[in-house]
Amino acid sequence: MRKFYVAVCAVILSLSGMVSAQDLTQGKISGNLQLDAQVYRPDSAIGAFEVSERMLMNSFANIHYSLGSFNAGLRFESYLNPIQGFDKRYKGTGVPFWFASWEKESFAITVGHFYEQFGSGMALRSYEERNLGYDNAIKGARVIFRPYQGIVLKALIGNQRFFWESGPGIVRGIDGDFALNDIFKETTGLPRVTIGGSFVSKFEPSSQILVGENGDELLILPENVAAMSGRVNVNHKGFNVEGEYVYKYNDPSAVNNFIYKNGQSLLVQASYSTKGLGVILSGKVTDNMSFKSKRTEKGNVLDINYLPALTRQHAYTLSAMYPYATQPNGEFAIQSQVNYKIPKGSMLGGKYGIDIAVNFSRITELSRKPVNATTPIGEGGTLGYKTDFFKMSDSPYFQDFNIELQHKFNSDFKALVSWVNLKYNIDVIEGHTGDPMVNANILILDATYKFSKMNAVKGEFQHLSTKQDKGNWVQGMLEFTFAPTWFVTVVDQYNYGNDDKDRRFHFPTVAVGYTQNSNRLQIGYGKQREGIICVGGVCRNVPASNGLTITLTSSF
Amino acid sequence: MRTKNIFGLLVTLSVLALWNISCDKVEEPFTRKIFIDTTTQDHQKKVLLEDYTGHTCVNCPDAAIIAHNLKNNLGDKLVIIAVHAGWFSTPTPGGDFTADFRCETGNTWDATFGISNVGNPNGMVNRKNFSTAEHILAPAAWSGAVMQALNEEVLTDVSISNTYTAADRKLTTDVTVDFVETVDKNLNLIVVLTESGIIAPQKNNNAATGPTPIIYDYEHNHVLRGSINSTWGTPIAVVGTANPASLKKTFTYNLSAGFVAENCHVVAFVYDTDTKEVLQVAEKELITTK
Repeated sequence: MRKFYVAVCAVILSLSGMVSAQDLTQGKISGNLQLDAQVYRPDSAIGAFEVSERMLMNSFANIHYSLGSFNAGLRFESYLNPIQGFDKRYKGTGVPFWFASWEKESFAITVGHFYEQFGSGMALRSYEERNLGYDNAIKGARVIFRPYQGIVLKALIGNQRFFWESGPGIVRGIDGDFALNDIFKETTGLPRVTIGGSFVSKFEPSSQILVGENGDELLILPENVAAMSGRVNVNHKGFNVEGEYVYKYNDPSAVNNFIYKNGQSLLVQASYSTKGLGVILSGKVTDNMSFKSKRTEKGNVLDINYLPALTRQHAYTLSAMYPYATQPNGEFAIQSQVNYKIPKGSMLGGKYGIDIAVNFSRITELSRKPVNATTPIGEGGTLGYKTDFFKMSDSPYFQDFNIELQHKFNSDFKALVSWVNLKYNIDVIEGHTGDPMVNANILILDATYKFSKMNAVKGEFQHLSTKQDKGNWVQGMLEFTFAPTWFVTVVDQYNYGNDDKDRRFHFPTVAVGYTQNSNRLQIGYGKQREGIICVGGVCRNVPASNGLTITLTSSF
Repeated sequence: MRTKNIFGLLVTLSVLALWNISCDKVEEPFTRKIFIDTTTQDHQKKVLLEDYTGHTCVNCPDAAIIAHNLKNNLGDKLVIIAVHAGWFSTPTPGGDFTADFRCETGNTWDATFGISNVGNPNGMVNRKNFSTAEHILAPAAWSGAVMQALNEEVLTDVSISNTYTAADRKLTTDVTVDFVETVDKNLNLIVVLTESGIIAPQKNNNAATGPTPIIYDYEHNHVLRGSINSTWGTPIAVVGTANPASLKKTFTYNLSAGFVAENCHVVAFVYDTDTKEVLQVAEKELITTK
């Protein structure tokens, strides 16, 4: 807290120094607030245990000031106490994020907390995802230097956020982006080419970690661990091809069981788009690429990098029931997507056309072999294993094939139908050791009818069929919108296919929302099943609950 | 052009400089044997390791091995309590995991320190750093934290003497706390019962550790069975009040029918009620075998 007050004073002094140059009243202040509260009722049948506080709350507010090229801001957060499913180490109230930044000619400088991404993020990405309770903001300094048209250079140094403190590791990084067409101006008609590269390093003091059968072998730990990456993007007319390769030096950590194998990851994507058609093909191979600024951490904290999940992020509840969590120790992933619009005015397309999306992704384990005849695969204090980087193993982690059609029948009525076929390795992804692969088929029907200019009703029907895990589910939802102010939603999820007849529960919820300009209040009451929320391959477990939920958002 | 050349040179030199200082390449061998000092001193610092675990936690057997190896190497200098709490310790209505190793004290500790909320296995060493949320330690961090704690100053000594009568399953335990240094803190004494050698199924996902997915004849050790005085203990020192040279507390406890007395231990530890940090710990078997 003391450091925060010093920082605020520094910002104020900086501002006061600028008063003579600029009038502070000409600046602009903006911000937003979100508050989520839940009141819990115990319901042991569904696994909703008693919460001694009865009510839990997460909230945050961003306040941002800008004056010309100067920006400053802070985020206030309060978890009293954190909502179930969120890490209890967030408990408390404070200002864990603040910054000041300015641009002067070719330089843009930020001090305080900031988020940054180099390329795809596989070497470095700091970001926040409120729904996951994920925040690995860097606290330190960052310089962005644009010395010439088409060249962007970045350098940063700092510690990462660890709840209300900072992690022990120091993260350093430099990144360069070179848009060749802008640098070498005479490129009319040529493909647009951008190349880039980054170098990221962390320092963490050594510690005593014992391995071996008798626990008496002390690891010789690298205090400085580095990763470097190179990337290229070529864009020409409707075609785009991009790729990034990252190489990480020895990084023994709790995630990889303290092996000394170097890590690497390759991501390639090719796409083509034209009016009415889009095609994307992507592939990714990842081997031993967890990169944290604290080597003994295993949870969703202190990640320096980000490994994208090559899977579709489903928006509907039942199709999102089995989301994929990226496996940093190794995976082989492919994804393809085709978007096609049956043209408007055609016999099949009707007046508005039909949007079709077909998506397929498959992720498998890497193929691993022992380093020698006497060392088991993955043994700590060794090189771990060998792998054929480009070989997909037969052991699947995840497979998703889905088709979606959307059509607007007339100005009042539109509908969507989607079918998803999933294979989900619940043993590996959720740690349900010994449980069989979940094979599921999901059908989604979604229709919206506007019965007046300001009023509409939306209905959803979802069905998930599987013989594994908890069996079949069905969900129905009706939502009435009385724009611009009110909406009412009624939802029920029913696990009618559970093998245990005593556990065939309904999960009904009613919610009412009120919107007034940039203010929105939603109140809901009902039951929520246990589940997992994932965003981009990073996941959080959500326990079952029963009770009242309140969400308030506001911005100015 | 000259400006671009100079600039290019600066960037190249910066990258090379950063490269040279920012990467440690470790060559084999990656480990070295260490000598662990097993000798004890008159005033010996002892460390409490709490392993928060559960019988359906697939990674917990590996964590137990880490704790077990530390105990083998350190002997009496390390005291382990395995706290079964949270989702992975919940008994199932039927099947292999109907055993209930939870207790009220363990549930309360787990809720207070938020261990299982973060995930299992996780633990604490001397409950250090609770105020900064850095008290939760992954198993990989246990050895470093234990070694560090062993080097800390000894402020108190704790010793235990047990008398157990099998006929009425009654335990009388005398816990003596000697103040080695003046301690101006609010201190409590917690006394608990643990049991080892409990054979029951345990989930496991590491074939090198045991059968997967379940080790049916798994030996659960150091299981917290309950508190003998109370969950948060008995006050023994107050800020501003002089410490006695020594104080002795006597507690009685009736063993539940299912506990095997020969496998039980009394664990007593002194902690700072403001920071929750454990200053000293001791362990004594219920029945002394020659």
